[in-house]
Amino acid sequence: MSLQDIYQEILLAHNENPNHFEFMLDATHQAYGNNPLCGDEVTVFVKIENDVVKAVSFMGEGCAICKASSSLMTSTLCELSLPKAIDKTQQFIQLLSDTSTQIPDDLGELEALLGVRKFPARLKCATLAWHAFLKAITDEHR
Amino acid sequence: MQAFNVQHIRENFPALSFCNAKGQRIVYLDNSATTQKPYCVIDALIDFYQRMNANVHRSFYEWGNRATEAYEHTRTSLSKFIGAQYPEEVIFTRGATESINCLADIVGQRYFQQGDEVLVSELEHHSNLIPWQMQQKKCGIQVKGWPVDAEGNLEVSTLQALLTPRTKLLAVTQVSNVLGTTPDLKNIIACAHANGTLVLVDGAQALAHLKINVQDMDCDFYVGSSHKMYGPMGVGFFYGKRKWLETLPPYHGGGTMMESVFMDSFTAAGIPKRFEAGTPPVADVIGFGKAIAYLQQFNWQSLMQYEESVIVYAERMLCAIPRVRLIGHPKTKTAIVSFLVDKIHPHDVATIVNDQNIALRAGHHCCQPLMHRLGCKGGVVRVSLGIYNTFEDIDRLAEAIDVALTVFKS
Repeated sequence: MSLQDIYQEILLAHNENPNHFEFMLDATHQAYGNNPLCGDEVTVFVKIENDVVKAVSFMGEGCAICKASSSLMTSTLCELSLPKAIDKTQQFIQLLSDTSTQIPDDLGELEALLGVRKFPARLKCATLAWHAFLKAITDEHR
Repeated sequence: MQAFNVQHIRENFPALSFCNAKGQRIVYLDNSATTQKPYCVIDALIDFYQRMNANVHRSFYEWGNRATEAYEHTRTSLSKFIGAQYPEEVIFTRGATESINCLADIVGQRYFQQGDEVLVSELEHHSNLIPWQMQQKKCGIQVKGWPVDAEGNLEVSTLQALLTPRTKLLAVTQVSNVLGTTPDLKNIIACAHANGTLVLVDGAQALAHLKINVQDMDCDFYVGSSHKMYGPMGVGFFYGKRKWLETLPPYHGGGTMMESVFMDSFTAAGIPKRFEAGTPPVADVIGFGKAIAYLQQFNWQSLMQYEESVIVYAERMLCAIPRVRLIGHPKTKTAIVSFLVDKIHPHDVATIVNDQNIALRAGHHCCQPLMHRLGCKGGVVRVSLGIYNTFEDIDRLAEAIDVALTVFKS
């Protein structure tokens, strides 16, 4: 395991200039996620129309892995049907948490986060926003 | 008394020779979390299980006698180590956290009334805050914070303004686990006592670095953990002035803590047994005794001077790195320094230096209120020294931070 496995250029770029790092005024759903042991915290905003994820954004403070993963998530889930977005999120969490999970070919930029599988201490950083997304869409009361 | 020779000391700690796959020797800078163990402690654990594994205080055979004797020997050594008047003022627990939880509960039961206040400093670890907060519901007390200043100092002048006739207890650390601040406890305690307020001192971060004398300090209660002073994990202690301990009810019920038991009632044993229900971690307590003996062989003046020279060097080296900012600037401190690297999150710093086989801690260090006060919501990177750290360790850290700056070049 080397530093290049985890700090890939693409992640550092997302950390520096994250996508959709903004408050969403017209969010239909939102949730706060934090990792009390280390201090990472994100709020994920979601706009759902007709069971389709129309927009995802996030705010918060976290490490490079947390921020890059949140940024990649916002683009990945956009324009997916709600069931598909849930599926994709659960699969991605599973992929990072369980190293025996087979790596799918359609990961795209998310592939850059696979290095986290070699750094179990950073798993929570990489999945925090994804968990918050799941929480947001299951939270009826916003 | 041994002269202070760090290379010789390092040979006593087998874990310090660990190298990573790249052949880099471990640089262990997370001593506030836990310290490494010398051979004499490790050997004592093995020796106990090989030669005298028996329960204490109740066996009539040779092993039981030996185990009891060794267990009680630690109590005596520890009481001398912290300057207590009597060995029975020292109670073994699972650690400093359990000690505070226990004291909060039994002191609360005995002395707190609805509307009373407990004052807790903002330097405290969550383990010296949450147990008091938990008493709010149980006893109807109120927990109040004693703010630190911007540099991380606790001032007696601000304390005076916070003490009221209802302030029953002050909970304060001897060494901040984030900033290394060493508050002026003697004056603080005198000030609290003048108000009729009891004082509990959290010594978890102090015991391996400062010469402790609970009588001179005049605290009412004092807590610590073995594993932060080169002893085994899973054992700690609290000290209480005899006059208080004798008035306090038991915490856990079970074996050892009782005198007579009937189907509907019991009478509690005297101190220290009253607070030590059940089988204690005997091997670990004996190992703890060895750690104390290990520490006692050093001239403390030299030990403290050496650690100070390394922490001063660390601060100087860190300051010289561009984009590094030290957090807090306490007037008096020991063995700990926290910092931030501009635009690199503390977790990323810790992960990158780990790649160079440097172990340190990043995060809020179980001090969320302090992090908020210092404006470090994302946490900080912490270097905490042990007796075996060297100037070379600090050089390695500085090089590793340079690597972090290269990885995050922007």
